[in-house]
Order: sequence, then C-alpha cells, then structure tokens
Amino acid sequence: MHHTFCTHLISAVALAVLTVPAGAANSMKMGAETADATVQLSLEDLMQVEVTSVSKKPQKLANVAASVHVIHADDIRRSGANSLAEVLRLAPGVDATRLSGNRWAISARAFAELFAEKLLVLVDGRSAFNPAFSGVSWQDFQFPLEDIERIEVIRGPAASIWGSNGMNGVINIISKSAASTQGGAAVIGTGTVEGGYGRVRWGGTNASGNVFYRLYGSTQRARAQDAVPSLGGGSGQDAYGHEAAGLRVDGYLDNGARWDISADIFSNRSDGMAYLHQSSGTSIQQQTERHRGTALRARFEQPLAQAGNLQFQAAYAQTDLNAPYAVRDERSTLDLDMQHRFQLGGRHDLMWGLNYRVSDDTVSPTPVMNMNTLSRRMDYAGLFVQDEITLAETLRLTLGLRADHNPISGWDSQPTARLSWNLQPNHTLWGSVSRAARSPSRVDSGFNRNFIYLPGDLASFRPNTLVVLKSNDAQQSEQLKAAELGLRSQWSPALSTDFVLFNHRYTNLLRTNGSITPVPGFPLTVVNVEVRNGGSMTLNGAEFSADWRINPHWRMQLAQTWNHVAAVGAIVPDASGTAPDNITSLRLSWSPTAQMNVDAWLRHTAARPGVSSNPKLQRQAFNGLDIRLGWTVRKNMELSLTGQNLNQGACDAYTGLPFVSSLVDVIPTCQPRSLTAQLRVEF
Amino acid sequence: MHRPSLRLLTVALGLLWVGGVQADNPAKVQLGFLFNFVRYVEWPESALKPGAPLRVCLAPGNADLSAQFLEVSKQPIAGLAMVGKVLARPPDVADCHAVYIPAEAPGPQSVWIDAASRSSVLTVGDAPDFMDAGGMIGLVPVGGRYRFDIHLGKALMVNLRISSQLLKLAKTVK
Repeated sequence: MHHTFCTHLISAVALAVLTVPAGAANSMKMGAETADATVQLSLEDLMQVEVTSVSKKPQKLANVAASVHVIHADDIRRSGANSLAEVLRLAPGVDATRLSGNRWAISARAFAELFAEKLLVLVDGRSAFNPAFSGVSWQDFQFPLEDIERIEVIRGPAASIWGSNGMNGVINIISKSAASTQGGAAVIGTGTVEGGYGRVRWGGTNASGNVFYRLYGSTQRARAQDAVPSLGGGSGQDAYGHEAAGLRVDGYLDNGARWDISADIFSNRSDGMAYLHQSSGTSIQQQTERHRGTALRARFEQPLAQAGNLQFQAAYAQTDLNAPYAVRDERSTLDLDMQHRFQLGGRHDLMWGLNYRVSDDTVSPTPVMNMNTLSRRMDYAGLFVQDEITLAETLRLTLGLRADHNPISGWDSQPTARLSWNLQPNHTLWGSVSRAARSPSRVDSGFNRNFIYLPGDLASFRPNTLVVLKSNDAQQSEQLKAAELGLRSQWSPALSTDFVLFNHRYTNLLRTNGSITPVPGFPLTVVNVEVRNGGSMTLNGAEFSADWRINPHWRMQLAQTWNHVAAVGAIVPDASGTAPDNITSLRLSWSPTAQMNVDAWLRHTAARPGVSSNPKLQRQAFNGLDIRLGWTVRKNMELSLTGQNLNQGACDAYTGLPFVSSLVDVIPTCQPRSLTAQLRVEF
Repeated sequence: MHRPSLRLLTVALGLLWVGGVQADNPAKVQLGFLFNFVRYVEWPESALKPGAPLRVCLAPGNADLSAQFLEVSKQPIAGLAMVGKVLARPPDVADCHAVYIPAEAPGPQSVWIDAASRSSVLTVGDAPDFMDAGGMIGLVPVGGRYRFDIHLGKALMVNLRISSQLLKLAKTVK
C-alpha cells in the first residue's frame, strides 16, 4: 500500500516539476541583461545565479579515486534532521536506521549495527571510535548541527590514511572555524517525537582580529515512542535527553600558521527496553543508559611551500558509558597525531603521518557480562604514507600504505592502489583495490557473558542448560579486500552523476562456535559459545547518484544502492542480514521564492535477506516520506516545519534489527509519523 | 520489494533529461563577486589612505572576463570608489589592492599569487588549485552556482581584515 502511495506522490511531484513555467525564474533577480545589474547584485543573490560554464579544469573532488560525498551546511539545514545520525542519510549509500530513541544502526555497504563497528568516524580529525567495542556511540554527538561546515562521507575502505576500522567507510565531520560563526544564533524546536530542544551559540573575536571564539550549549528532551505490537505494544519507554556545552577558539599567526582548540562536555540519558540474559533466564527489562564525556582537542597547522602543510593534533577524551544491558565502560583516551604533506619533483604529492593512542579503561561487571581483566591500558600506533603520482595530465595513480598496531592482534597492514583517469575534463573513470582491517575491541577478547538459561524438561530428556558466551583471547583483526570501479561525470554545471561498482570480500569475521560441558554432580549442562575468527562474506554492489539543479527553483538528488550478498561462509549469526538489497533516496528541493523553501524526501530501504534467529526482530522493508517547509520570515530568522515518515501509520514503520550482534539486545520501537516545528534566529 | 525502487529510479531518470537551466554569463558573476568581496575587506592605512580609490586589478588570460572588466570599470559602481586595471605581467600586481586571477591566467597560479603576497593585496580566483596555491578567496562551482572559500590566515598575514559577514557566507574558512 505504501509503495502505491509513494509512486503516486512521486508522479505528482514530477508533474509539478515539469509544469513549472519557464519564465518563473525571472521573478528572481537573475539573468540580468546588463553587466551593471549582475555586477551590482548582493552576495546572497550572486550565490543563487546559475552560470553556464565553469572552469575547464576539473575540480578537486572530481579527481578523487574513491566514493566520496560531501554534505554541506545548506544540505544539513534543509534536511530537517535534528541529529547527526539523520543527517548521514543524506549521503548516498549510507544505511541508517533508528532502532529506538536515540539509538541508530549506521553503516555503508554492510554491517549496520548499533555501534557501527566497521565504520570510522572522525570529528575534526579526532577519532570518535571507542576501543571498548571498536565502534561509535551515535548519541554522544551533541554539538549543534548549525556549527558543522561539512561532512565528508567516504564509502568503502579508506583505511590507508585514516586507519583501522575505516573498513566500510569513513565519516569525517568538520566543524566551522570560529571565524565564520561570529555573533549569536539560537534554535528552539518542539515535536511529537523530538519533544523539546534548544541550542544557542555565541561567537566573537579579539581586538586585533586574529583570534576567534565561540561557545555553545544544547539540550533536548525527547518523547518515548510505542513498543512494537508483536512485542507486546504499550510504551516503548525509549525517551531520551541530553545536555551539552563547548567552545572552540581559532587563532591565526603572522607567519600563516593557524591553530584551534576545542572543548566539549556532554551528558545524555537514553531509556530503552532490552533483553536481559541472566543465569535465571531471559527477561525484557526497561533500562536507562547514561553516557557522560568530556573532550579536549588542540591542533596546529603550518602551511608549507607548494600547497604543502604540517599538522599536529593532540586530543584527550574522558567518557563514561553505562549501558546496563550490555556494558559499563569508563575510559580516558589520549591521541597524538602528526601529518605532513609536500610536493616532490612536480609529479608527486606526498603525505605521511604518525599517530599514537593510549586508552585506559575500567570495564565494570554488569548483570550480563564481566571482563577477565577489569582495567586495562591499551596502546595503539599507526604510520601511513601516500603518494599521489601524476602520470600524465589526465592520469593519476595513488599508492598508499598504512601500518597499525593494536594491543590485541598486533600489526595490520592496509595498502591501497587507486587510479583516476579524466576521460574528458568532466568525466573521470577511477578504480581501486584496497585492504582494510577492523582491530579487535576490548570486549571482543577477554569477556564472559551469561547468554541464556533454558530450564530442564524431563519429558524430552533435556537437562537444565546455561548458554555462556565467551571470547577467545587470540582474536585477530577482521579483514576486507575491496575492489571498486567508478565513473564520475559532470554533464553540465547543473547535472552531475556518480556510478560505482564494488566487490567486498570479508574474511576473519568474528563468529560463534559452541561446545557442551556437563557439570559433574549438578543437573546442569553448560554450553560454551566462543567468539572467534573464521567467518567470511562476499558482498557485491552498485551505487548510483545524481544531483540535478533543474532550474533556479528546483533541485533533485537521487541515490540508489544495490547490494548482493554473493557468498556467506561459516558465520553465525548471519551477517548478510545487515545488507539491505537496495536503498533509495530521492530528494526534491523547491524554492518558490528567496524566502520559502520546500524539501521532500523519499526513502526506501529493502528488507534484509538474512534469516534472523528471532523472526520478531527481523528487519522489514521501510518507506519513509519527509517534507520540510522553511520560511525565512526576515533576514536572520527562519521558521520551519518538518514532517517525518508522513506516509506511515501509528507503527507501520517498525524496522527491527536482525539478531546479529552479540552485544546488541535493544528492542526496537515504532517509528511513527512525526511533526517538528523549529525557529532559528541569528543575532 | 524491487518494484517500488525501480519505479522511483525510472521516474527520476526520466526527470533528469527534461528541463532547462536559467543561466548567466560567468564573467559577470565572477566580477559581481569580486566587487562585493572588496566591500567586506579592510585594508591597513599604510596600503589604502582614507578616501583614496581602491585599485582593483585583473590578471589576463580570460578574454571575456577582461572585456567585461574593462566595460564595467568605466562605469561607477554604487558605493565603491575604484579604479580598474588589466595587468600584463605578475610584478604589476604589487600596485593593486585587490586582484582577480582567472583559471586561464598565463603560468602557474602561484606566480601571480606569490607576486601579490608581498603587499596587502586581496587575491580572488576561480582555478581549482587557487586556494592550494595560496589564494585568499576562491570561487568554487557547486551545482552550477558559485560559492566561495576563504583562507583567512593568508589575508591576516598581509594585514587585511575580512568582515564577519563575509566569513559567515563562505563555504569554508581556513
């Protein structure tokens, strides 16, 4: 039924696009006849003027031999998204599903799970991955979306520069320099799901104009959604909230060097329902997850001759993650990074770097899990070198190698070779072969976990059984060999397309392996399930995206991803369940006047092919329609109304998660139709 | 499960090949940006005496841009006292307060930019490698429209102050 609805809606919108009068553009101050008129337009108006031809030289992004998509500040504003996780859905090929409350499963290509354990996330160059589970906790990103300059989303392995865990992709979040956020800004909003939220920021500069600062504060109280009817209905008890504050200071030195420091503090609370596996049996319990953290970061960048530069960064973060159904992790992490880029002999653009990370933790026992070693210090080191070689004016070869050392599995080498060829100035064909690794996490090795208790049954001769999940101390890194082929085309200044074919071969994936041990003298059998390497999976796929500025009023962005799990080796649980057969995103943006904009967004994610061990938790196909209306009431003030999942009934949008992760037992909640109203002012 | 997404794709692809583009001459737009940028920049008194006209220059190489520039600089522009000049060679740039360096300028971009960097000269350009070569404000085409990046450190090095209004509108501030 929803399919039909969507199809009709698309047809209606398509008709509307095609019937826009050709002269409608003339109502805007564009296409002026005389030189004087154009030359005297304001900056804001000039930024709306379409140009028929741009530089004959290809732009930098066009030459990149990787699947890269950049989400800009404007895209974020017009998406209606209120969290980083939602924003990431703007990037083609990103599979992002809200599980419950502020818990998201996000990845590119495969393995979308709660902790995004094969995706690397960097915030201003600082890795946000947590060694406890070698993954990312999305609810901890609480800086204002308005302060993000851009998000670079790289699909596929990018480990040769960025390091381990950049297996399926890298998400590089770059916040605005404090120089571009001077003055005040505030956002307040309320919604049927989002509850109430507010963000405020103030920025300024020193008297000599070479040091800039900004301060922000952010808070939210979101409402709980319904539980899924097949799991009992009622309240899903997944309300959440956060408080966050921070600052950033940017300074510019006389010799052209620049520095910036940032400090952030956050605290969030996420209610939720989870399966709690204890020796007394499995029960569904309401849990409250609490995360607290602080992060300090300092960076210094010295420009060198011929576009070279030298960069140093130090970051310190302290986090306390308390998820009673899974893990309690208190951690402090220090990162030191250095990067040097320089030109050599006109043909070589070289970049190399070093990084060192030390993470001290205490992983306290929870009712479901305990670690063999309570506190541990983990040291990580990495070295990378990359050379972009200009073979001919239109042919570039990039060779890269990164070596990473982690305290559990030792060294991983992650090489890449990428070739890009400008067939014509506006068409680039590229190909790459790469190897990437995911280092074992702290809880991948050295844990014991009560998994499930089955009472005995005399009639069927079944003894009392306790299933215990435990790790193997000799964990190795999970490995990926990937090949990609892409064609990036700029058909006209207003129309660009991107097509990518990929083959991902995963080996050494973690899998479970069981053995039965009777307990002498007790009517109990213990089934030991061990997590060890040995799983494999082959994933083939294609990604197509198109961005078309139809005329000054209309823009359309389409992204289509096809995944095909070609082979699954010995792996339990079934990881193929994390790769949907296809993902579609279609955005239509309409700006009838300079003050009004309307954005419609259709999203489709197919069902997961994997067989879930619990059919109630199997992830179904999902269609969502979002519409955002934005009205710039006056300069520096915008009102917006966003409707999400408008095509859905009360609980139709349920998207369960297959039971694939040994750690993730969160029960998904409904994703109903929602409305959010927001006011944004600058002062 | 495949049908709805296939339909989506068909409709979308159909849409991609229909429709026209409202467009303008890029030279006029580039000059529009240049004459706007200079209003948001403050020169040190040693470089620009109060009341003195602003010397705005253009590096050669793009015939259309040069022709438009000469025509426009003959006429007064509201609120801007300026003198326009098309340069012949890089050393001449030292006499300017602002220079536009088109992608088609002869020689590497860095030759023009380095010549300008010895005094308080605002450099504006549109070449893909303009910012990497040390330029201050680079026009970047995004979906058939221009946005711009600012290298604030380069401007501050030669005592140019860029207003917060301009910094706010930039796509990237480095």
